[in-house]
Amino acid sequence: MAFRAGSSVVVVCPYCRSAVARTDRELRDMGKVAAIVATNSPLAVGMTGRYQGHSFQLTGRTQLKHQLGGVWDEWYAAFSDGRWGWLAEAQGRFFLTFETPLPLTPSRGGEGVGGGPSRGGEGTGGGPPSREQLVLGQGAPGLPGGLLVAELGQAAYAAAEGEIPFLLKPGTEYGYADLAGPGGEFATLDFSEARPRFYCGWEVPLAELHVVSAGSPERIQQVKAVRLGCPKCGGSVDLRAPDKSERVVCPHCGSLLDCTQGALAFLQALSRDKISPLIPLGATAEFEKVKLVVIGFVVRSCKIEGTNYHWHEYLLYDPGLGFRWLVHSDKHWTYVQPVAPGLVRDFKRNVEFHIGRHIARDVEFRGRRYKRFQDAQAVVEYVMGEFYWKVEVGETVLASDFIAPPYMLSREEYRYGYTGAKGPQRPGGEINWSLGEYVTPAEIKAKFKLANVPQPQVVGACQPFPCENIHKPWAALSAIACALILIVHLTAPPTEVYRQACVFKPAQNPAPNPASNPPQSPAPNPAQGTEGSQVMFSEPFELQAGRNIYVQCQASVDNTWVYLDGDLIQEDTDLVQTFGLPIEYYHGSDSDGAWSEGSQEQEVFLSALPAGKYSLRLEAQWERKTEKVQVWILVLQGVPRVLHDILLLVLLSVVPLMILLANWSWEKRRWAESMYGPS
Amino acid sequence: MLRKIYIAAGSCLLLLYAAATARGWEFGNEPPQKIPADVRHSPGGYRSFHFWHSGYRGGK
Repeated sequence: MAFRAGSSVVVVCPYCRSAVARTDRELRDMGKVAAIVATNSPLAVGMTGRYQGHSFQLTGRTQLKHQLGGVWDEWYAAFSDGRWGWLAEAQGRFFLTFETPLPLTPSRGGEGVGGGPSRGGEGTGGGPPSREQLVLGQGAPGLPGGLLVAELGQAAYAAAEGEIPFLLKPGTEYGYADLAGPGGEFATLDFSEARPRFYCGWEVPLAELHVVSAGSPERIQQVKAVRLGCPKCGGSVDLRAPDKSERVVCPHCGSLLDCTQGALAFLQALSRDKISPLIPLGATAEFEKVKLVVIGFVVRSCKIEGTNYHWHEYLLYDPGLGFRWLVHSDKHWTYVQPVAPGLVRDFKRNVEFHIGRHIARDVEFRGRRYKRFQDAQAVVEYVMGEFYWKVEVGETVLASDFIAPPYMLSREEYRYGYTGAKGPQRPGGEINWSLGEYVTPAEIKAKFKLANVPQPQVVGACQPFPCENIHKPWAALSAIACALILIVHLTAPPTEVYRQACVFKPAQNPAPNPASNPPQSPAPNPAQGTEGSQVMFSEPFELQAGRNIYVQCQASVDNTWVYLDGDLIQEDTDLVQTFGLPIEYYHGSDSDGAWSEGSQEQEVFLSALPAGKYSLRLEAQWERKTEKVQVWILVLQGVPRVLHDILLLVLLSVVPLMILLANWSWEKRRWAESMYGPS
Repeated sequence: MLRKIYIAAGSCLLLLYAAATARGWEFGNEPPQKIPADVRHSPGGYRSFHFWHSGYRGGK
């Protein structure tokens, strides 16, 4: 037995399991500690690693037991600069903290290992908070702003090995508070001594620790699934995560069994009404590029406005990834993973969350706003399989859901009381946040190779709108359209090519001479058309190619009409472009007042013609054949079409508008299911 | 997929608008026809053309 680390305080003898402390004068026997229970941890005493440029070695380890029965490992890392790091491992997650004296010193990374996260130079001004001053879900007084109390609990040292950097007393119970910061910081207040100790750090992925084995490569104990016998019915019970599971339900007799003592211990007989999960226990599927196995199944319910709503939750497990959930509610599926509580902030920077008081209506997580959707007391109705906490039928948590489709943040607050070794019952509890992502039934069916997955009938809480969002392409195309329209209107003004006023006089036919042989048809009059119409020809004018032609005619009609047949004629090529302009204008007054109909002016747009000289032929017919008609003619080229501009913008907007309406309808249906929907 | 289809369709619409404006296209007109001079100068030459190509319109 040796104290290899210079500052280690206690060493656990590997032979007799005694915890031996060294003082300035002597070695003291602190008592015996239990042997470490084999887990699937990738870490081991003796391993070395590197974190933020500083090397460390894992010198010791303790296993701590939560008052509710949960167990976690705490590893002690001796860093090359003389500091000690506390590396907590729970449910596949790792939290590295360093003891930080109060008031705190900044910063993270820049000053080497230790010192905890940046505090921006804030001092606390006073001592650390007492256990009684801490309230679950609120900020911790005496500590810098931003740290929320995520858990209040009691722990006991259950087992130990290696070298420990503090005076470990086997079996000691102590109160603690876990805190979470806005930047993902993780902190713990340890109330094992008169003055609380404060440890501050971060959750770190295992890969960031760069751990390597210092000794035998077979030190990793791969705990595989085990099969045990049910103490009630004798049936075989499979444990797929035996090192993590706290409770298991016998699939034969439905008994709730404790599996923390090695052998299974009967706890409670559950309801015989068996519910068959859609996904069987033991089924596997790939999520996050990892194969997860379904090890547990829970039915939970809540009562909203007198109606009970049920949903199913599947517990998934992988030794490297940890625990995940699949929630099946209203035939919608959500894949859920835990998130650090401190990363979730009130959208309006008010850090208090209270069920029913609506203080935090919306929350913010990783730059995304989540809207509060539902609050409920969730009750466990039925359990099957294994669980990493001491689940019980009837267990109740206060749950809140916040959505930003396809994501959902869920908050669960679990409060309990416990009697510590050092005094009366204390309130304990924990707040857990989890992030869910919507998974379609088709994906579930494919991943788990299920025969049939029921299709949802209502819009799910975090079900995304099925149509792609096209508002950005619409905005871009509309901007280009507006630019094009501006260019057309500003760069090519219309040009006048012909303007003329003419008078169409009544037709005059000479009387036939009865003395002439045989009567002849009257000679054709160039100014006369057929059936009493009159024709005029304009002087030739130039038309340019590639530019539209605008013809406007005004006529002095008053409660009558005139019809103009027009032709643009290119004599050289015999090309004729025809058009017609009916001009009629009526007006009067009756019992409702003055009225009018029609217009004395008409216009027509013609497609561009080949460049060249053109004449305008205009044949007029009018009602009052004994009266003359005066007509004003205007011909322009290159006139911008406002109708085309409007048509372009409308056509570009039709589909986005339809999608917008569909989206509005979708959201209306979604929020109809929410207690926070528009009433 | 919808996004790509919309961008493609929108781009075609913009191209059509640009082409129509640049080339002076108008929609709904009768296309120009070639009518020989002797037909045009004969009595009723234009009347037949108007009748068949633009419809004969009388007054009220």
